[in-house]
Formats: sequence, structure tokens, C-alpha cells
Amino acid sequence: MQQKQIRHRYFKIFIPSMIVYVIGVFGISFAENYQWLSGIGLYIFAVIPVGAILTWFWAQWRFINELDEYLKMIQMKAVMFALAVILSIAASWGLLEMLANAPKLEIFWLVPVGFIAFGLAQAVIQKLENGAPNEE
Amino acid sequence: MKNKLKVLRAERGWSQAILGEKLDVSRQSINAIEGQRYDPSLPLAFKIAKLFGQKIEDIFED
Repeated sequence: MQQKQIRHRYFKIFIPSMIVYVIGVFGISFAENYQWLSGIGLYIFAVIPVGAILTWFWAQWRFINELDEYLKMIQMKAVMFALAVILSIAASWGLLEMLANAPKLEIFWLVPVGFIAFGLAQAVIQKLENGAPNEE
Repeated sequence: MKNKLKVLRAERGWSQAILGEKLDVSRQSINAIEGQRYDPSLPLAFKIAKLFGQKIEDIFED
């Protein structure tokens, strides 16, 4: 399969899953604010954003498997960077919360932070790896 | 690792995109290999050698 087709197939899953994630998160927050949902209802509807994230992971997994070796390396570096950011925040702030009564950080925010770190890492790594283009 | 990919490609009048299509890799990959920022795997090196009808060691050198 052509690299363009692979990218196209990835975005066909990535964009809708992110839309579902955002709608799911805002929808649940809205429903909770207006007390349309509570208790077990919240737990059940929390599956919507989780489903969207798992769908994105599946698309990302397939995307990385199908890319050529060079682009795969860039993707893997970006994933590792995002993972390092998330784990560093979770480990350091989590420890401070436990031992130093640091203000509580909702773990929900690790997801958007992870996505932002992943996106930024992709852009920066691609820029660094590609350097000065030598196509004539 | 030094390589003659750019020269071999130019001899045939191929763009990076065309060579990428022939090898089933992206244009960025060809760009990175030619720019010596990325060393291809052994299977890709074999594929490149086969496409140009040369030995791997004639295209790539340490």
C-alpha cells in the first residue's frame, strides 16, 4: 500500500475518533453539570471517550505497522517522547501529591497532555530528521 | 554511511517520489537515505541494490 493511502486510512479513523472523544467528554461534563447523569450512569457513559481513545490506539498501531521503516522510526520516537512526558508528570506530581500535599492534578489531563506532546514531538522530530531537503 | 543513491537516481532521471514508489517507501525516506541521515535496513538495501542491478557494497560504503 502507498504511504499516502496509509496516511489517508489513518486520518479516516483518527479524526472521527477524536471528534467522538471531545463530544463524549463535553457531553458527560454537561450532563453531570445539569445532573442528568450521576453514579452508575457516569461510569457507563465514561466508556464513550475510552472507546474513542482505544479506537485511535488501534488506528495508530496499524498506521505504525504499515509505514515504511524510516517513518515508523519517527512515529516511534514521538510515541516514546509522549510516554516520557506522561510518565514523568504522573510519577513526579503523583509523588508530590502523596508526600508533600501538592494540589491535586486530575489524571484526566494526562490524556490531552499526552496528545499534545505526541503531536509536538512528531513535528519537531520530523523537522530535525528531515533537515535541509536535498530534493532537486 | 555514504551511498550513491542520488547519483544512481539522477542517471535514470527519477525523482525521489518515483524512486520511493518503486521501492514502496516514502519520498522522505529516500531523502533521508540520500542525505545520509538514515541508513536503510538490510532488506531495503537489498531492494535498492536489486532495483539498480548492483551489489549492496557498490551502492553503500562505510
